[in-house]
Amino acid sequence: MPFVHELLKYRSVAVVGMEKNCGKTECLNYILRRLPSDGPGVCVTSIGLDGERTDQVTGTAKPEIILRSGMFFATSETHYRSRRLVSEIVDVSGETTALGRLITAKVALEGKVILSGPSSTLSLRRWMDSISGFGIGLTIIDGALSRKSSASPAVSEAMVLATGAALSCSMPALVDRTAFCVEMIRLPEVDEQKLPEEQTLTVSSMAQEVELAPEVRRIEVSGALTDRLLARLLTERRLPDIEVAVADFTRIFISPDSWRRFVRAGGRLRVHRRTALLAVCVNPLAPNGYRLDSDLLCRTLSDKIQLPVYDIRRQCEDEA
Amino acid sequence: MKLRDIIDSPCGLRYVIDSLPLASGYALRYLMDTEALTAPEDIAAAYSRMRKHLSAAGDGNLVSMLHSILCSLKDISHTLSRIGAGNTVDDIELFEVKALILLGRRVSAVLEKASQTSIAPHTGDLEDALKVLDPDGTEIASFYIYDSYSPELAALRADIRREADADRRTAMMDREQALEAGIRERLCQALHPSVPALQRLQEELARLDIDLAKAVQMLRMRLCIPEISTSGVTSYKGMYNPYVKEVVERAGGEFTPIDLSFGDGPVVIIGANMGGKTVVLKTAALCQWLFCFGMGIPAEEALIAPRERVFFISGDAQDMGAGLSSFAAEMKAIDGVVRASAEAQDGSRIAAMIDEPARSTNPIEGTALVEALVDILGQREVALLLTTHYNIPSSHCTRLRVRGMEDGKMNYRLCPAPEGDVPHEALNVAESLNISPEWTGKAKKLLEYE
Repeated sequence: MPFVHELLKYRSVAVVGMEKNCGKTECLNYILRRLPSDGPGVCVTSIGLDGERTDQVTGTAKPEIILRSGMFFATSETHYRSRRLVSEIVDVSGETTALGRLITAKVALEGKVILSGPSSTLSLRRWMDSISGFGIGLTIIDGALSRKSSASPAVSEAMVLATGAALSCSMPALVDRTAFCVEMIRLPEVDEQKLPEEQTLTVSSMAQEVELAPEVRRIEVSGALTDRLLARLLTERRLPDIEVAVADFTRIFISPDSWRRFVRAGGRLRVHRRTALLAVCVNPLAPNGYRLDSDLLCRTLSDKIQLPVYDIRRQCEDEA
Repeated sequence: MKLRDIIDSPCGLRYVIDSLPLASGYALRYLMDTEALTAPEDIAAAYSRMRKHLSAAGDGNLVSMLHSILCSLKDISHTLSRIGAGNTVDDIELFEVKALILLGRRVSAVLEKASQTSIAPHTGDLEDALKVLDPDGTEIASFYIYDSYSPELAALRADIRREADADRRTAMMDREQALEAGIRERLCQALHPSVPALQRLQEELARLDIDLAKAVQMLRMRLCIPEISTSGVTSYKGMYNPYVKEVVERAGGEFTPIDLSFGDGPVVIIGANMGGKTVVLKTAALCQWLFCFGMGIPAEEALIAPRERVFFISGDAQDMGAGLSSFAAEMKAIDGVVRASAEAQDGSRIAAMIDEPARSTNPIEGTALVEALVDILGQREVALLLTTHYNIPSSHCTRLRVRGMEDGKMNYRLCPAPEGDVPHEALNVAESLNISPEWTGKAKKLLEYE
C-alpha cells in the first residue's frame, strides 16, 4: 500500500478516526505491520486511551494494537503492567496520564498492548521532545475518539483519516461529512507575508460584536472558529475582500451548511499550519451490523475528495 | 518547624526559595520537608557544606552538566521501602532503582572529572545492586527481565518468536510471564541488602542538588555566608530584601541597604510612613529564616544568633477564616510570643519581629499595650524587633528612627533616636503622594489649632 511508505517522509503522523468504530485501530495495525523493519525507529502512542479489547462505549470487539520487536511505544503505568509482550523500559516520564505515569519502552518480543498516552497535545509535545534521544525517526499517534487535536500540526506533521459506516449508514451522508472534513484539513495556508497591523483584526468566537474597520484585510480567529462567528461574518458586506485565518484545521468547529453559506458569500478561510493528509481509510461495517458496499464507498469518496481511499480489512483479506 | 510551614510568611521567603536553581522536583520537596536548624553546630555544618559547593557553583559548565543529570532524580523511597520490606516490585520500579544507581554514578564521574570529589555522592557500595539490574553490564538506563537472567527464559522467548499459532503463542506467553515473575522475586531479594545504600544515595543526590543550588544562588544574588553569633546579638551590614530590591529596581529606583543590630535588649523602630520600617522587619525575619536553613543571607555582612523559635507578626493579620477582626487576630498572634517566652527556659532563644502592634486601636491604649509588651519581652531577653508610631520611652528599649524625608526625598537608613517624641511626618508624606490639598490643608489647620 503506497501510503505506508509516504509515512516515512514525516517525523510524526496521527491516525485519526472521524467516529468510534471507523477502523482506526485496524488502520494503525495495518500500518505497523507494513512499516519496514530496517527503517527509522518507530514509536507509537495515543492521545488518551486506545487499544482496548472491547470498545469502552459501544461494547463491540476491537482489535488490540500489535507491536513488532524493535518498535517503541508509550503507555500509562496501568496499561504497561497489563501488556502481552516483552519490552524494555527506556523512560519513565514526569508526564502523567489518568492511569499513571507515562512509560516509554522498546519491544523485545512482539505482542499486544493497550495504549493510553498523554491526554493533551501539550503533554504529547513535551513527551515527544523528551524521547528525541532514543533514535526515533517516526512517531505514530493514535488519536482517540473526537481527538482531532492529535492531528494538529503542532504535534503531527501528517495524518491518516479513518471514516466509516459508524459515522453514518447513509452513503451520501457519510461521503459528504468525510469530504467536508477533508476539505477543512486541506484548506490553503495563509500567505505569511506580514500585513500592516491596521489591516489585521483578531477576534474570538466569544466576541459579541465584530467591528470591521474599512482597512481590515484579514481576520485572525483566536481559538475556535464556530458557526456563531461565521454567521456574524456573513453579515459583513466586504466579506469577499477579507481573509479569515485560523491556526489549523483542528480549531474549526463549523457545520457544512455554515461553510457553504460562507463560501457562497465569497468568504475565504485559511490556516496558518497545514497537516499533510496521507490517506483516507474506510470501514464499511457499522457497529449495528449494517454494511455498506465497500467498492462503491471507496470509489465515491475517492472521486469526491480526489485522494486514494482504502478499505483496510478488505486490503488485508486481499493480501492474505 | 519545616520550611513548608513558613514558606508563605509575608517576608519574601517564597521569592528566595523560588529563585533557588534546583534541578529536580524531588530536591524541592526534600527541602520543603527540612526542619529549621536551631543548634549552632548544625547551622555551622550546613554553611560548611554550602562552602564546599561554592567552587563547583562557580563553574557554569559543571553546573549545567550536573543539572542535566540531576533533573531526572526522582523520589523512589516507596519502592525502596517495599524492597526493604521483602516485597517484589515490578519492572517500572526496578527500572527506577537502576536509573538511580546510574544517575549517582554519572554525577560522581562528572564531579571526579572536575576535581570535585569532596561533594560527589558515594556509589561504591552499590556495585552489587547494579550487577543485579544490569546483568549484561551495558550501564544503559533501561530495564526488562533480560534473557541473560535465565537460559530457560531465553529459550522460551526464542520459541515464542518462531511460533505462528496464536493459541499456542498465548499459552507460551503465559509461561513466559510466570518465569519473569519468579526472576523478579529473585532480583528483589538480591537487592534487599543494598536498600540502605540506595536510600542514602537518593538523599545524598537531593542534598547535592540543594547545596549546589544554594551556592549558585549565593553567587548570583551576591548573598553572604553569615557568622554565627554566640552573644545573642544579631547584626547586619548592608541588609536588603531581594524581592523588594527587584521591584524597586524594576521601577527604576534604587534600594537602600540597611545596617541593623538587635538581640541585646528590645529594639523599637519608629519613623515616617513609607519609611521602610516594615521592609526592615520583614527582611530581618527573612534573614533569620534563611539562616535556619543554611542559605545565603542578603547582606554585605551578617552576624546571626541561632534561635529556637522565630515569630514574624505582620500588622495585617486579619483572620477572616477564624472570624477574628484585625485587632483580635493580631493580639492572639502576639500573645503567642508572650506565652512562648513565659514557657521558654531562655528567652534569648526566641526572636520576635512585630510590625506596628496595636495599630488599629486608640493611641492611648495602643501605646500602653506596646510599652507593656516591650517591657515584658525585654525582661525575658527575647530578641525583639518592633516597629511602631507610638511613643515608647527609651528606658525600655533601644530606639531607632528612619531618617525620613530629607530634601523632599525619603532616606530609608536607620539612626539612633534615644529621646523625644515620634516623628510627625505623615502630612509631609501625604503631600508628597499628591493627596488632595483640601484634606491635608484642613488637617494642618486642625493641628495648628491644637
